Amino acid sequence: MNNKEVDSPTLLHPMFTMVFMFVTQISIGMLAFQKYVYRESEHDAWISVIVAGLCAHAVLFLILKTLKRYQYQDLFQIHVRIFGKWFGGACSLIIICYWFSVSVYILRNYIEVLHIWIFAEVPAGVFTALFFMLIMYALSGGLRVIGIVSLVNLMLVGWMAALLYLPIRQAEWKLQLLPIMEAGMGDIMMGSLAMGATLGGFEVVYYVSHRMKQPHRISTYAQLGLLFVNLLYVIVMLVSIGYYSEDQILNNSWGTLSLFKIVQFAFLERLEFVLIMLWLLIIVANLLVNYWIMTQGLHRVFNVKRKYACIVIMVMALICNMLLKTGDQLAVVSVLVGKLAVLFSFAYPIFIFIVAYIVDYVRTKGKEA
Amino acid sequence: MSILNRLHDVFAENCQWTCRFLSIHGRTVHIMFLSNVADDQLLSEGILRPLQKLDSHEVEQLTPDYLLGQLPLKKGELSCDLEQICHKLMLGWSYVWIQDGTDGLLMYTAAHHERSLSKAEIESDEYGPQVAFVEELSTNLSLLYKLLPDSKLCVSSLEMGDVSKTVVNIVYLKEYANEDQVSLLRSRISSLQHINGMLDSLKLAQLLDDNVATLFPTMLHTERPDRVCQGLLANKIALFVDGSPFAVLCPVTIYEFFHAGSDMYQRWIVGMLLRVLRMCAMIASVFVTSIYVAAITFHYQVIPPELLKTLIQSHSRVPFPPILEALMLEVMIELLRESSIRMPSKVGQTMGVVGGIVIGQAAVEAGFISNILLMIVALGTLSSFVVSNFAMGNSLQIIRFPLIILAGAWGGVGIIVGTCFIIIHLARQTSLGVPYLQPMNMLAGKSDEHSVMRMIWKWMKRENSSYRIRKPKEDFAE
Repeated sequence: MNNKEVDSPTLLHPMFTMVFMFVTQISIGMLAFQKYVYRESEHDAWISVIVAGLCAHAVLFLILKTLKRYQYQDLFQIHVRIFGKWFGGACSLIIICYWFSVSVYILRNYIEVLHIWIFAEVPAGVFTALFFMLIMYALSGGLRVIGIVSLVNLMLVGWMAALLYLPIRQAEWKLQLLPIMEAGMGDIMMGSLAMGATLGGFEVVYYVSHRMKQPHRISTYAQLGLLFVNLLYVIVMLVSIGYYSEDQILNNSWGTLSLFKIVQFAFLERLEFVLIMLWLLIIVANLLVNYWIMTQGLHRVFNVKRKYACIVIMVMALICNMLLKTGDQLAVVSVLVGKLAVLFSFAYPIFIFIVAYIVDYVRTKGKEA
Repeated sequence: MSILNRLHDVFAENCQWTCRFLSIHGRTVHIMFLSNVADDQLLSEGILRPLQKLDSHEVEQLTPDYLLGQLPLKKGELSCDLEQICHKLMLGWSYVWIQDGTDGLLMYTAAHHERSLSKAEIESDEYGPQVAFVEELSTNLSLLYKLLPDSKLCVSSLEMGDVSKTVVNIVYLKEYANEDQVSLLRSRISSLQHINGMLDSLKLAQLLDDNVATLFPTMLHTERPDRVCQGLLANKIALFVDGSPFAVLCPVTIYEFFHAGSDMYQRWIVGMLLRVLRMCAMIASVFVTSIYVAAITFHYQVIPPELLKTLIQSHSRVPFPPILEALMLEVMIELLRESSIRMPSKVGQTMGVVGGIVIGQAAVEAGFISNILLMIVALGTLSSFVVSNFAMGNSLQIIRFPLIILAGAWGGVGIIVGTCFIIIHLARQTSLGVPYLQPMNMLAGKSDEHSVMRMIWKWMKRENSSYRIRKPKEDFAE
């Protein structure tokens, strides 16, 4: 009734950069990344994780440099400023398609987890509809609501990390970890590439920075957020290598979930069920950020209302989710999205940075002449 | 037509209407008032007796002006405006009119029916000032002035309600409260129309809400003056409605509903732990029943075998599915709660027996309800009483029902979906434009009012700044 006059603060504290990075990077990948990295660099997989993390820090640095050059506008605006209206719009559309494929991949994979572990009989469409109701409701509140929801959800799930103590206690470090650097440089690099697919998502900084109160302060928070995520991945990887044997880790599709199998209390056991359910909160937060970026992009490119953009995306996502029926199809999509993630999270920011530099250089030269 | 006749017309159908005339030394003075609304003693001592004592010399040149100087009453004014006179008469004033004059004299003789100050009953607490607000606005304000005697304290008065003509006061501390919020509140109040009666501050609070469609209270009501003062010092605005023993504080965050007045007066560790206890109780009261339903219906894997044996044994005698069983018991508890509120205290004991023993014990023995569920639901209800704010307690009580249904439909996933919905809903709410759920302040806010934790007094930025001078760190004590 009095909603119109309420002027809720629209700008966020720069600390929320950290929150957004957390939820975009730790999604479905966190549940099942061990196998893919281990396949390449075996028990030195943790080195691959660290290498990939360092690369991510470097790329993030370039992203922040680019943002600073363009006064913390979002990527869609930067596209227009670099490439002009038409080509820039096309680039933005490609980016939106990438985020769309990521969102479909995440949602469908999570539903697959639910199907495997908890509810085999509930159709994927029902879960998708449930998710979309939540997403729609939160999106209508804007980025402020998304930020708050992400932070609360992270806190509700974060305590589970402390339970890793139990598998750590049973890990056989000496047997599994030594000798270090048995894999060659090539293997380590291949492992890093596999890890890169999981690590992608930190380029969310591109889109949210213009909604922060003091955008110049985000760099510290962004790097710090990335550091925490990397540490978490390294820790989980180390624990997995120590806890599982080689066969176990290669044949286990959901490495992180199985870590929680042995956690047990007097009144609760098989904590992986609890983790799967709580993970829903992370997935929702992740999808919220994804969908916000997509609606924002469509709004910028076509100047449509966010409401309609969101509905269009959801209908398309629902259809895609229904089309992906079997686990094999899902595996194919996952591999594809993994490659796209490396491309768009690592290669594309570097490309944008270089192009932006050249364009700026040429333009200032042109002005001087 | 003289003012006398016009007033007679207006009050023709009011049996309280009294028009008394005195003739003093040949001149007639009319005194009009509504009996029972005006105070008898004030009338006789403040108007009648002074009039009779006038000597003939004074009477000859008697004017309302002169009379105003003679009558020993607190407030008085000259008036010949019929509408104003009627309004004032209804409020207990008396109208003194000298025969054949134009102006008359309005004198304040209202009778006050006021209960004496008493201890806070709804927010009773072990520490801190014990006095509570009463129904009389002026008394409430004087309680406030006593605690905050500073010229920064602003009280602006408005009148609301077409019929009830209730006085509403907006109270805030200048330089503390946000000017925008004050003007927003004022504009909202003035935009309210077509209100016949404003009988309580809770009604006003609902009319001023940011969002009508929410289950959660977004303005805090309290009956303790010290709580209001704490709020005012923490940049809040208080609303008082004449006739209501509750003040309304806004803007608030959700955490403040879990604060109790005595948190601030306890040792900080105790206060902090009590707040944590209350938050845990909140979580327990909302989730405990639905978790039971989800675990028994879908996720028996997560329960260790020994515990599962007990649970299943207790449930096996019950012919209903867990969700139905839980809903039945929850409704029963709700009935018990609701009936105990308005029950005359003489019948209260009977209800305890009926509710506690007959329904509880008999239902378990008859195999209608498993005794573990009974225990769990009782735990949840007990926890909801721990939440210090009653309005919030009621809201939490209601949230359980959709969660139980979701748990029955999709198990733990349903509960989490419901939780996520609640979080999003809370994140969307604002109270006077201020976000309702602010996780940034969750652990330690700038001032205590926003946070879950109770900070140490010395650490709070605004409070007791003189204490914040750091002592040079010395060696350990010997």
